[in-house]
Amino acid sequence: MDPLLDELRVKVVEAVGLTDVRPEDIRPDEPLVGEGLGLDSIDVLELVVMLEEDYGVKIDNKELGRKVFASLRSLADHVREHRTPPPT
Amino acid sequence: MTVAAPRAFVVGLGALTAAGRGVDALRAALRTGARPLRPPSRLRLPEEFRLPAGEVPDIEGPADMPRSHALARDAAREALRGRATPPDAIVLGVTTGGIDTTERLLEAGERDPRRYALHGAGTVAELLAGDAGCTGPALTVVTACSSGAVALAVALELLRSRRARSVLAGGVDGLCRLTWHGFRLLQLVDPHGSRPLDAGRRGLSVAEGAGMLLLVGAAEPPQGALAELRGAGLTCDAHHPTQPLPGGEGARRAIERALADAGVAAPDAGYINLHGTGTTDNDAAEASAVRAVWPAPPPLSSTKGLTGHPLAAAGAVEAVIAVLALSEGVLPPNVGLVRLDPALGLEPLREPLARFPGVVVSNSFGFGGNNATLVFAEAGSRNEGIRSVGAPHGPERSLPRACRGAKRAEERVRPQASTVGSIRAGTPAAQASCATWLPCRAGERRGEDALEVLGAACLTGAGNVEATMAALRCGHSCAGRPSEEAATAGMPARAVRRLRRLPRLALALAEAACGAAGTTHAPRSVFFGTAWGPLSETHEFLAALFASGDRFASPTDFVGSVHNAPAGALAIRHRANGPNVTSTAGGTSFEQALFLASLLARDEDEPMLVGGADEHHAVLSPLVAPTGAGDPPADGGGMLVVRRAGAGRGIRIAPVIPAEREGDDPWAALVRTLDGTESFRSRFAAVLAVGSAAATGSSLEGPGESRMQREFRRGTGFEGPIIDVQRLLGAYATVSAAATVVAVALVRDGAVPAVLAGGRDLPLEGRGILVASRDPRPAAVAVLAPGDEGG
Repeated sequence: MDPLLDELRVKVVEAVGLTDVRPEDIRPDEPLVGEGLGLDSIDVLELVVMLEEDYGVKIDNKELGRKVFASLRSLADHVREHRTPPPT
Repeated sequence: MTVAAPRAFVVGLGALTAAGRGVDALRAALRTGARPLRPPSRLRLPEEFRLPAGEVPDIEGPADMPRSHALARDAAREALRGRATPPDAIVLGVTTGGIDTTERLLEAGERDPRRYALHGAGTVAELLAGDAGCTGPALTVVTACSSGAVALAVALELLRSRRARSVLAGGVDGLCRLTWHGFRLLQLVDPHGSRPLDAGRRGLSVAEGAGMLLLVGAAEPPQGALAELRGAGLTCDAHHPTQPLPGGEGARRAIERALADAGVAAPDAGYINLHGTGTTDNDAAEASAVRAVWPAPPPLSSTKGLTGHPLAAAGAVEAVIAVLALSEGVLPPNVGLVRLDPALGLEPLREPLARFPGVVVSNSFGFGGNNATLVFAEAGSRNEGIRSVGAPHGPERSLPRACRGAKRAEERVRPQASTVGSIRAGTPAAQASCATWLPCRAGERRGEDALEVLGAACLTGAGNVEATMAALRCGHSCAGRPSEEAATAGMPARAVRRLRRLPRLALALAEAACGAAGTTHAPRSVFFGTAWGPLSETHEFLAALFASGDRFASPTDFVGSVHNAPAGALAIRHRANGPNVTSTAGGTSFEQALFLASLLARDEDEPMLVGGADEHHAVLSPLVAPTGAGDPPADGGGMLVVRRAGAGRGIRIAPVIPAEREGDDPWAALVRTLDGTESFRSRFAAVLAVGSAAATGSSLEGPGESRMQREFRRGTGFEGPIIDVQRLLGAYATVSAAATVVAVALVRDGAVPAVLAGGRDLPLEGRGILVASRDPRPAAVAVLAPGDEGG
């Protein structure tokens, strides 16, 4: 079990409006973009906004984006490593 | 006898850019390779978002006037300076209209709709028309970053078809938070300022600006002609909301269509002004397109490293730049470029080049996959001959002054004989008769304006067209909002997941209209009218910005907020890769879309989608569209699959766009346009009329004739049934699109039922129905029965 992974499943589905996908159906290692979940460049930017807003994680170049959004697992790993606790 | 079409000559210029106010400031900057991009002073921005922008210095409009309006008015006055007579028509490309004012008011919680009166993108053209005294059509096209170029393409056809003798055309956009943060959130803004074609380019620089051109139609260059607008090509990628086709195929088709339309061979081009935004994808796709058309391209550059990207103004500002290059013989450099991207395979100008280019090609591309290319030629070029087609040239060639220019009109090679019918290929003698002016009126009397209806669909509070007609026959009002289910009928969840209400309405309408037309009539082009655009996306984006201190908002909503996003979605869904034009003009947005369809699609024998829709938004509608916040709140629209009426014998629709006179009654202007009351009575059995905000039927009036109906009768002397559309179908801006679909159904039935006609069934007996609107100016759609040859 990986709570962050499951949290991100839900957030991804919500952020890009995947009404035809259940969060639990996203396989951790399948590609998020193109083949796989079928997201495109606008979806990726939507996830970028979500990551910064919810986790304080910034992704401001394509190379990093390609790495981070390779799969749900790579996304979770990146968030775990770079998240900044929201100010309380 | 065939008569040559007038040619379009540029006789006046106006420009406001980051370089400063006026064409002189732009010229000076182009010649020195200036780079005036810096963080804008007009926008309150968190430090980290203070990125280089193209901001117009030295101008302040009235405090209450939105930035776009102030910029446009100033540029228009410059272009019209010294002219005693107003232009016959105005065509503008605008994307954001009064949004900067709306942002401010909305955030401050202002609830008075009067303060939002200039929100609509169409109000800029209305302002200019009033300022210049123009009583003819004031058209506004909204095709994102190709808007300015599309406006010029429209102006060209107005002049060629003799609907106008002179046209003020251009584009404008002011800086606002919506576009600033939208492009930032799309990660399309270069923190170092736009560097088109550079290996390290990271995006565009958001800019504001205005470009205005005064064009006149004439057989020969008039005195003071600066250049000729020779041709235009419009296409749509039908691929993705923001990304161009990777190989630049849509752009290539636009360039090729423009060259063909101009009767110019690719090697005749002496300079290319690139769209060249500085984004990775645009520059790569555009370079592919240019290399596909020109194995050895002529001198070229993007000027957006100087101006930034002024969005809807870009195509018009760059048209001004093209005219300066042609008339003054200086080609501008690709400012901002440090290290050329070798993958692009282009060699842009690094320094200003003193050379008369003869022919200039100018590209403008936009969200929604909209591509527009314009071809300009030197004004006096016509009788100076032309280099042979295929003549070798490159940046190093020297161009003898006598050899620049383009083909004589008579020698033009037209790839499609039908381009604009026989009126284009005239004899020199016939060309002298260009003075014959056929103003924008009585459109349906001229065969080429009428479009044959192949399929039609509407959405109303009652539901689809069948439900609507059933309700109307029972005397029920259909005013209301189509359900969410009705607005997504037939659409896969994936196809609509990113779309809010307006694009869903548009897709559902097109799905039904195409279904009615049948699979053999798949549409190639799209003409869509909307007064307010996607209000839900716009509101969501702004509300998120306000709530987060301008930090976070959905990039999806930004992409969806542009007025042409619904038409872009239609293109993708229906693979319609021809012209894709969205128009906006308050209550006559649909009429303008229909007019543009008949004007621009003359060489399209293929079916077109023509429609109009608006959404009701709980917060924004009562502010920006107080008429649209009626009781009950209503939205919806109508969509038709049409094609040029040729041999077809079906029901036809034609736009009627009158020129008003001083002190005119708007309804009287319409009837005058239709050749007076007698002709009007004999040709139309009934009128479906959309009243002004004040005069529409309301619950206070009770049964009987509404004020609108009484005014219409008084203004026109019409004795048949005058049916109050807003009472019947709801009070929203593009309700006339739904009314047109209802009229088509009635004409098909051959009778107006008693409950609508008042008293007894009214047989049409071959007569048609007029759908009449008046806000902000009179306009109508003539729905003609089969067999009516139009007088």
